Amino acid sequence: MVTIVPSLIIASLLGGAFVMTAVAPFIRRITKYVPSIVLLFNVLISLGLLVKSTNEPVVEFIGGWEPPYGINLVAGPMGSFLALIISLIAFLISLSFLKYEPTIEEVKFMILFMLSVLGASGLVLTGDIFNLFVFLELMTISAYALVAYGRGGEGAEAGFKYLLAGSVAANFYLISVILIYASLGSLNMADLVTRMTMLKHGVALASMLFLVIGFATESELFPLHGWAPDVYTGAPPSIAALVSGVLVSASLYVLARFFYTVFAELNTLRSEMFAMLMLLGVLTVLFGETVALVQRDYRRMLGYSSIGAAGIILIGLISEILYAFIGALLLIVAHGFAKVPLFMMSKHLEENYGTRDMEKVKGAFKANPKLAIPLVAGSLTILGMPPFLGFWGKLLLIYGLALKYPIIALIILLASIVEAAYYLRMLHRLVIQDGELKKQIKIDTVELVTYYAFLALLIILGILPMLLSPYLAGAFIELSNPSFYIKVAMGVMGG
Amino acid sequence: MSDLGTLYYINVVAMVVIGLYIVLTKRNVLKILIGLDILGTGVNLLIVVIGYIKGGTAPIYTAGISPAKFVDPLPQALVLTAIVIDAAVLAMAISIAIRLYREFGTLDVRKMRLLKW
Repeated sequence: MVTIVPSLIIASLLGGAFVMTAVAPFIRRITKYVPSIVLLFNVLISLGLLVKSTNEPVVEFIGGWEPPYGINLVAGPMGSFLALIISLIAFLISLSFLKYEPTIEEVKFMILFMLSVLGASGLVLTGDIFNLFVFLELMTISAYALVAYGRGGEGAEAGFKYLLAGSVAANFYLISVILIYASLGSLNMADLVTRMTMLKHGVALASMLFLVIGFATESELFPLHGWAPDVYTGAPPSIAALVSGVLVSASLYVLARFFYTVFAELNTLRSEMFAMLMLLGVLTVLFGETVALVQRDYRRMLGYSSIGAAGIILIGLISEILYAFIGALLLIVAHGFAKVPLFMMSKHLEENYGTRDMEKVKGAFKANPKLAIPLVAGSLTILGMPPFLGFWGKLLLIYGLALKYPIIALIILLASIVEAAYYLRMLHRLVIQDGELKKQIKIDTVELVTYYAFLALLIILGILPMLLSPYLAGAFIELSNPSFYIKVAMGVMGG
Repeated sequence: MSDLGTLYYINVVAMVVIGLYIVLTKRNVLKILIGLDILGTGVNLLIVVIGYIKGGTAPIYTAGISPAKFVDPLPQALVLTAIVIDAAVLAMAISIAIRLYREFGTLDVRKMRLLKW
């Protein structure tokens, strides 16, 4: 019997990337299969971890060093659930690589893609705050390069902006880590929880603020979102989807993990920070959805919609209400899945019509029902329409919030109406309205498989959301009971 | 904390503030990257300083040296990692800067206006 351990997820991606580097000069043709195989393997591993984690979370001590000295990987329900979603999104995106007859540039692109996914998976699994910094940098440095693959000047410009924002944010997070380490002498999350009460008020406040500034930048929250619209416009479409669905969700998870687990003992400061994050979330939702309303560029509109979604997910994650929390996790899944076909549609627009301006491509998909179906379905998911998964996410989130914060629930409801306005207008322009464009768009079968796989998942999970519910409830228990996390991370002996 | 230690902390704050100021105000890509480097070096200095003990020695058990004088080895391990990451970020940044120059023929960020700054 083979034991499933979280380091397999990291090792397989690293191994795959090395193998691709090694064989690319000789047998380049097979390299395009490596990302899909490795990521499918990761989907299965993280599914195994998730099923296991509801009974007994899997904890692994790297190098056999027991906490608090060594680095540990903790696959609790929360971590394994996000690892599963990350692997699944990445796997389905990697299917679209199969259409390449890869050039050396495309091989490098695939390697960077795997490293970025590796960073995101590590981010949600690690139990060590410095190790988290390393994974954060791994995830973002690869993403800078991937974004810069975008066409012409736009890609390079977006990559440069992302790099500036991202590395300043990472440095801020590092300052926060060092402040905590200098006062408490530990880097292990579970070990830090009990030591936190020894932290001086000023140091605690400073480290929290540096952390929030760092990760608010990474997760595109309102005043620090500056890089995001440009990255979504300039990056290759698959990478825009990766940033929106995977990288941002992983960064939001880090905020939740720190304020639920690591800072659990600092009650007053923690509730002040929750209030601040809630305010940031509300501002992000209002800003993202309003600016999206006035966009004419298809991808910029999707980008601002992603910013709004990040705000909604943040509010749900930090609300400390079971229903809203589960709603937020479902929205991470629904939004991450739906944005992939939506962003990838822009590639067809650019390739066939040379523009993304929605006023100039009226009726672009009218003659192409194969593309129109995923476009409509993706939009309806984001709007929270049944039978798609987004419906349950929005319903539970708004219902949960209404119990405790009726005003915020109302704001999200209003934001959803604004969202409906611009998504339906976009659908009207691209699918319903008559235009001069009657062009049959040439579509690759591999790409269609990617779109419809996301669609199938959204519908299956939308009809049977109870498939996920035990794990989501487990994730809430893990986050809201720091003592459970400590017991898991410190006590259980791992492989 | 010794006077020397305080001086280092002042230095850290100064480097972080100067780095951030350069990143936010300069308009030349390479100058912005120099600011990013100063910011990163300031943070690395902070990591080294927190492990500093006046008159400390390497944390190796030797006859005649009390363990109280050992410096904390972990920050030094951390700073190595952080330095490598900094180097990687800068290498990536400079290669993107080369692409920017090829695409725009300039390194002035005010003239790169395909997207809104």
